[in-house]
Amino acid sequence: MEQIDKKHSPGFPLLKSVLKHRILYAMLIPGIVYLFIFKYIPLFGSVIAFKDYNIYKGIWASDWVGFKYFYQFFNYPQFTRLLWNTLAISFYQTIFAFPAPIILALLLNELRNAAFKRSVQTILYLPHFLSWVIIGGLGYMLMSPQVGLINQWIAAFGFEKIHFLQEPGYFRSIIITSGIWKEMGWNAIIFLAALAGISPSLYEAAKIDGAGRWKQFLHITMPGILPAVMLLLLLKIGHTLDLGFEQIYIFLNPITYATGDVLDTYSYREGIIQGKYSMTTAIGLFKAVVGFLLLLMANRASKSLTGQGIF
Amino acid sequence: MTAFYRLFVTAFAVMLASCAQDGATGDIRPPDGRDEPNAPAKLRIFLSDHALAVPDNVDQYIDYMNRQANVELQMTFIPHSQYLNQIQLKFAGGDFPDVYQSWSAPSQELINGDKVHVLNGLIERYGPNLKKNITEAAWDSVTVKGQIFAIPQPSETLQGSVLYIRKDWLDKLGLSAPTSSDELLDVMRAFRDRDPNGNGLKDEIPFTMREKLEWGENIFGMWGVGSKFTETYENGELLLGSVHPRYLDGLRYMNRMYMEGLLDNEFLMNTMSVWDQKIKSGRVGIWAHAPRAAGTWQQALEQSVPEQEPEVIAIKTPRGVGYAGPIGTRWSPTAKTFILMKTEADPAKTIQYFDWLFSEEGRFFAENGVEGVTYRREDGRLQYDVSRNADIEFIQRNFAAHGMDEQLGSGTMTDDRIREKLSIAFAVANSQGFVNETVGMPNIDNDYGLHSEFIEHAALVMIGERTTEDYERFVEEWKRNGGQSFIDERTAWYKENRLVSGGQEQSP
Repeated sequence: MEQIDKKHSPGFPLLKSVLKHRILYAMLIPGIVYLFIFKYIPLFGSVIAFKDYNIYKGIWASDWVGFKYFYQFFNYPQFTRLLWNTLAISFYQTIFAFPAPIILALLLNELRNAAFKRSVQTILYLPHFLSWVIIGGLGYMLMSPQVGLINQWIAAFGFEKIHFLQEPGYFRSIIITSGIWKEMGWNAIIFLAALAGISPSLYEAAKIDGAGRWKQFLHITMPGILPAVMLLLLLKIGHTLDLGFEQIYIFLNPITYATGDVLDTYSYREGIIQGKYSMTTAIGLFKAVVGFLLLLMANRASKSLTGQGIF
Repeated sequence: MTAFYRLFVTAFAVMLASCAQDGATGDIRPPDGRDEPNAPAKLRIFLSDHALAVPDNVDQYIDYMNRQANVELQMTFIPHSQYLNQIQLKFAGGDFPDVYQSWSAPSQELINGDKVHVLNGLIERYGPNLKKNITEAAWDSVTVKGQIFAIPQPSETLQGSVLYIRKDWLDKLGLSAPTSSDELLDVMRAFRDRDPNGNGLKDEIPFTMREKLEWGENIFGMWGVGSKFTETYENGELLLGSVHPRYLDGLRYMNRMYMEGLLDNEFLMNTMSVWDQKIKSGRVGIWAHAPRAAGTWQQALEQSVPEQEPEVIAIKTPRGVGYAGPIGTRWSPTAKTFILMKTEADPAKTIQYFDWLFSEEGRFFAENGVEGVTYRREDGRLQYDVSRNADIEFIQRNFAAHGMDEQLGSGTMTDDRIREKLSIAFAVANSQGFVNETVGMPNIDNDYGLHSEFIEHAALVMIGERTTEDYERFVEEWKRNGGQSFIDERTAWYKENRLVSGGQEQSP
């Protein structure tokens, strides 16, 4: 059999391999079709960023306008504020919100009582299933100067009530804190899975060698989850300009635009609401290009520093 | 990345849809019932559900209309909050109904694309009830250069927003309704200091409004300006409210209210439900809302704070100190509109359906529903089925095409006291206000970011973070960055199309 194959296709080892595993390759087809239809074809829609898109004319018949919408976007008087707010919130997210689930997973991992560990974990990931609208309502009930719980405490101690939600200085802290509260437990799951993947025999060997819990953590646990951490960090960097529209939109009001108006909320307000699809596409394209460049840089840096990368 | 991704998915959907369009237009409908002149016309209609649940027996009402108006209605109810977006996407996909409901004339894109019928001749021939019952101002709002592009539902009242005040609070404190901006300040101060709700706490909110400066128009209206999408023609220029010089008077006043604790200090965060709860909890003295809501507020407060013996009443907008022109809020002559698309073979039949809705029988149906379902007749009086009140509201909001009809009354206005509250609110709403020139003008394509920007600047002035001079600088900057050309273009259109037609004399 093998000899016959060699005779028929001496110069096509790839073809040979495909034929040999044709069932496996056939199973790949739905996945490729899915990716092609839902991820690649829509990419062509981004040409409307360069056109004066009119929904009655359709994508192809709309007039070309070159970089008009990019020009309009970059010339928006508050463009630097938008970009700065986006970068600042993203930076805080990376510094504070990104490590939170890792630390939580490591702490949970050290718990020995399985029942306690599971109940803590369940309680912590429940907020993930609440929508941002509900959390916005909770935030109002906590921080409102009229009915808010926190402000009632502040008043009970004899201090002046604080307009947390109407004060630009608090906005980013509220976003980061509420984000951590909502997503920390859920995001810890992936790290817990990575921790569960570390072979117990490594710990046993370390114990025999006399390593304490700290040394075990340092030399086994940390290296064990580093690949998962790096992978997620790189993905996060690729999403630097995407902060999650809903969360910010729910907490934002005109007074906090100064610290909280970001690219997503601007593109919603100026583009989606007013039906300027070309404008929003231009903003989306800008974000995607910047995100991709950041990802490339971060990946290269990561490869040279830790040997880990995503491609 | 998700927002970006979503955008592309949308773009793709739109693209696919626009491809499908070519196929759809090739499908030529056979002219319905050419041989039988009285065969019912098939009508596909897109309607907003006005955020009301579709009644389980909606077919009974549609059947009734089908029988009476000799049509075959096929109605699609689209969620109110996404209505305009949804129909835009449907149109983009080539899915054109025979009629769609809107709140204004069709967009210039649809007119240019030759998608909608011009109705002048049809109404002349087939719409005697339309001609009789629709006000001149309502026709004007859907007429572009003499061509009528929609059937307008006249508004119940000229103004869409009136001030409500807790009359029981006024009486308790021995005050009378304010007639000037200074008197309004005094009333609000008394509400703040003298515990009108009698709970011993200083928890009164003299005036409240909703986020994005909604339902605050009456305050600016004391100086005869609106804020959003309200244009007034003065001194040879057509100006949007938010760049009008007198808008600054409103801002100054709001700032004063905020500083003195008269304006709800959460006015930028009040969602509709929070705003609603604050008023219903008996803590709010003055607020602005639709005239139609007069009865609802009275009933709701009676239920939630019976111990205060609440008495809600609509009052006229007080006059701003130092200003003598018209005051109040903008006139909106049109409530809904119905636009006939060129998909239908015989628009005359459609006109006949709307003409039926404007007939005595049609109006009675739209206010009361169907006999034997929503009401029964007993000794000449109508007995309403209370469990069907929601159906009547649904019919009124979605099917009704006529305006105010006090003679016929309505199924939900059974209580004489509530009826009186409503008639006061309607009288107040019809007694003030000013022309909004935006009505019936071409749509605004590019406002150079004004509507997405001015709220921030206005809010900062109101809370005292910035001064009115800063706001003026913002307006100047907007004018430099294209705003002036926007004003010039609109003014030129106005002068060409409106001033020649013989002035703006319109009696309220």
